[in-house]
Amino acid sequence: MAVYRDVDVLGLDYAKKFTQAYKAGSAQNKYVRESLCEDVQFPRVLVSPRKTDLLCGKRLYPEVGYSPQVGGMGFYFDTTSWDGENPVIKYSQTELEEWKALREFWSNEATAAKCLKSFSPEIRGRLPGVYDGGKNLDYPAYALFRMSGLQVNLKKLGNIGIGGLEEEVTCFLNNANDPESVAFFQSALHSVFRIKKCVEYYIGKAQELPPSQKTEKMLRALSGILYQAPATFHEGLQLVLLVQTIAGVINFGRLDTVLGPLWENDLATGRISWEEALELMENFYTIIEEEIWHFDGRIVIGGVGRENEAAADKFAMLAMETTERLSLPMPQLTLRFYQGQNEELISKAYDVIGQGKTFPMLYNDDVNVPAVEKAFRIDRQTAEQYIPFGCGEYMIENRSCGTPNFIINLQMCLELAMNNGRRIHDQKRLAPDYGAIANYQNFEQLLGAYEKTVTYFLEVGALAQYQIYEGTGKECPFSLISVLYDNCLEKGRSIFDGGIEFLGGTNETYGNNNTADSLTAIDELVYSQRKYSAEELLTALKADWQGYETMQKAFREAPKFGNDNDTADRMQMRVHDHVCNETQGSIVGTGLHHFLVVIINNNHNTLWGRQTSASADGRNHGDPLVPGNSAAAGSDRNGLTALLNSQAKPDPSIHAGAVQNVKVSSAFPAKNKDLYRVLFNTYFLQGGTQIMITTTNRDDLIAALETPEKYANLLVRVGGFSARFIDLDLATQMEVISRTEY
Amino acid sequence: MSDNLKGIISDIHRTSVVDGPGIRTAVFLQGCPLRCIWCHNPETQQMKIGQFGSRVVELSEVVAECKKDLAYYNVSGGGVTISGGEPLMQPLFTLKFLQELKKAGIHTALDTSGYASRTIVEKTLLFTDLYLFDYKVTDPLSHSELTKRPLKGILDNLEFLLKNKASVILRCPLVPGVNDQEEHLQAIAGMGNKYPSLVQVDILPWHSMGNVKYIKLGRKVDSHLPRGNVSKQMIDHYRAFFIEHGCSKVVVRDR
Ligand code: SF4
Repeated sequence: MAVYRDVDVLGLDYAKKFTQAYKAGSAQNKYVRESLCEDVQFPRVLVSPRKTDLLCGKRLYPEVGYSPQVGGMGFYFDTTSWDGENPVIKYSQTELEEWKALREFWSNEATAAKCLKSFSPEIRGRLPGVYDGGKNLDYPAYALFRMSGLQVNLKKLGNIGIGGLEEEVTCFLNNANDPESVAFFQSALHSVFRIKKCVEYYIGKAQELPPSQKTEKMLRALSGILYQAPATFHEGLQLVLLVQTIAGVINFGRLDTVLGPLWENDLATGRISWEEALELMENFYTIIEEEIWHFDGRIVIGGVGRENEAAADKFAMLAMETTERLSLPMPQLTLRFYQGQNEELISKAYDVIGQGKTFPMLYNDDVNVPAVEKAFRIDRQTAEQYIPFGCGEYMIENRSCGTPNFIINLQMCLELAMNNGRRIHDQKRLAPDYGAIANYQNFEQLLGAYEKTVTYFLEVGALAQYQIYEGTGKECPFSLISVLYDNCLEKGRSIFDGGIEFLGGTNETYGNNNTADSLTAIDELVYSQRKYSAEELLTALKADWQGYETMQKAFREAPKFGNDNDTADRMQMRVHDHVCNETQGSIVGTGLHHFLVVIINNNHNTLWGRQTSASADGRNHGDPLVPGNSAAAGSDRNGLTALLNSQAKPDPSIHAGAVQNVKVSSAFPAKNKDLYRVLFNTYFLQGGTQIMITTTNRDDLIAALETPEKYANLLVRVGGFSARFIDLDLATQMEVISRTEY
Repeated sequence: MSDNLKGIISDIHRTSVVDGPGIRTAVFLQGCPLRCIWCHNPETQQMKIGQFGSRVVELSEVVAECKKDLAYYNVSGGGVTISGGEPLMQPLFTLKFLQELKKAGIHTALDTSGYASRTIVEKTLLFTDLYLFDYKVTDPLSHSELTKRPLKGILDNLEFLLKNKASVILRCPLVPGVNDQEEHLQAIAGMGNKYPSLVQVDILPWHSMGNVKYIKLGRKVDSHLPRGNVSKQMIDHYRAFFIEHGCSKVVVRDR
């Protein structure tokens, strides 16, 4: 994990300097301001290489800084990791006063604060909760301030290098007429110069290291990229890592298309051996693991729409080999594949997964490309460049931003619809009163009230997403990112100020399958069979099922998603269709190109579960919500094919990614090498979109609770990310253990 | 299809990779005339409803469930296995079930103790692609003692099937100290030579997983059974034995 906030990372003087630059720049314009602030940041925040490294490219995110996401969105100030009033480092009274003044200044000036303030009253009214890192998810929906899901054009970078970028931007600058474009191009040019400055800085740092073969290689790679396009694999890797680091972009996209040709060339000319390449990759992976949080750091390999496929495949094999050797929870290696692709890739992938590495995650292009085409309303060729990033959201490589700036808890919406807009366990009023379950005449009325509640929040979802883009665009040009985003230079506009081609966003939905299962159970037991009355159910839920155990059992045993059961799956699809269509529909009048549901997961399912009352699927208050598009823990009892069939049912062409986790006992791939492949291949032939496979054995997980030190290498998939099992908090560990293992 | 034909099942396992070739759906029928002391599924022995999920089902609904994984069977060379209990305890249901599966083009396997009337066994021939046929004990006296039923009719049925060119996999549960005497092992090894049409001989070393069910049923675990699972050494010993006896058809499973 990135250590991006430590006790007083770079000191008060640094924070003051950055703030002064911000103030000075504000007196001119956003482009100058960004340049001045970035000049304070770089190379100051860069971390020096160790003598064991082959590559350079690490940075700190101090208390005050500028970045698309890490640290905070845009200009950020964050001292929450240390109490400014009582820091570990001893401050004089004057210094304390100065920190306080800085905090006051930034509480109004931080980009996120400005965006929040500029929200229209409509949004503020419906989203009163302020997202605080997910610590206390008390409301059914939130706006989130971040710019995740940025994927810069590394291919262009690799092809033309820093020198090429400089030439390109200069050319645009020389031909620009309007002052806005001129200002943007100037700042863009500065951002390219800044990369050079950082390369030079690292050359200096590498020279300070004790001389060795490694240091020499490092120096050669750094010198190689200073002016020219990378000519070797090492240079390519170095350039990519450094530029991503400076830009603050934390997913890598289709690296095989960038690095494949360089690696192929090195291999053909005998410049480096397979082992040397692996050594480089291992250093690359290790740095990613140390630098980037586990929800991100995706590297995508394979799939349709790659120019030099043979070369790209060679890199893909190298990347999988590295994953196999290292047993790290990072990077999140992602394999896209299609019928007719080089068989070696998927075969190697199954081998690596079978060994319990959780990677690569598999994405079926034969289903996903047409689905993306439809969902994003783009042509086939464009759809071929879809990229799963972060926890599993899709975006279009260097042409869209996939950031989810809106999250909604569907199960909480259902409980509000059952209880006059009040939360069941504490009667807190959180939504309009559309009625209560006791008053609805039939199931359709309940469903209608639920849908109205969801829509009430979604109506401001796309708007919030748009206004965050707009606010960010006004404040932050993100010039380096803009240089590497298609269209921005051509239009003479920075990314969020009209530069980006597809201004879209995503809506993270939670508790989808709890909602579906609850609705199925209510339909069956309350309305169809009339086994329990609506009042009884509400009373039982209020009591968190205490004293209503038989009833809870009945609701638990009602049909559940994940069993290939038509009743349960049809309900799931209804819930899915509604939230997906309403989300996309909410773009009307906002200026967004698309706004799509993503059914992914970080640990929000566990955190939000804490505030979500007992539910009619038999879940207790506080228990985690179902992660991603999985079945509720332990409720998938019909075998793996049944789960896979269920998961393949919801329409993939109306959303931007849904994660499917399955847990397979490690004995399964070990003993049934062929069947295990055939099983998942068939799932994909049947329309499966993607899968994330954890192979573990339950005994190991339980043993790891007791003697964690023995299980440092045990990797598990938690919704949208992989983690060392022993690093997870107890609640999440229990959640993982409770999932059905096949 | 006789839509309202009903049967009693104890469970359906989809994605089974241990009940015959490929990816299969295993349907467990309730009821068994035997009482093997090592039985892993004691809950299926009595023809009772409501215990451990045993329930009355309509044939059409079970067939529909089986058809859901057609794609998986086709690609993996799998199909449906009818197991139990003893499926031939519900002969009408089982026969009709086999027939319906064949109509749907699904590979069928019948997991049987072989204890059934010849007329029924004969009728299954037409619709059964593979028999998983138990061979438990060699000595007739011990057989009666350990399973509460005689061996003779079972062996006759086996011979009948093999003579009629049925594909048979012999399934031999081995319980240390109970039925793993040298004599029995030799007889198993001898089966391969005696019946060239046997597809395979599966050795299934005993495991204690079923014990908890006895407790839940309020029954005692037989005192002759070993305390723990079959050891790794024991499994190696079985393997060595069959290699020594040159029996290439024998596959000794892990626990
Ligand atoms: S034949 Fe099978 S089901 Fe019947 S008692 Fe013996 S082991 Fe149990």
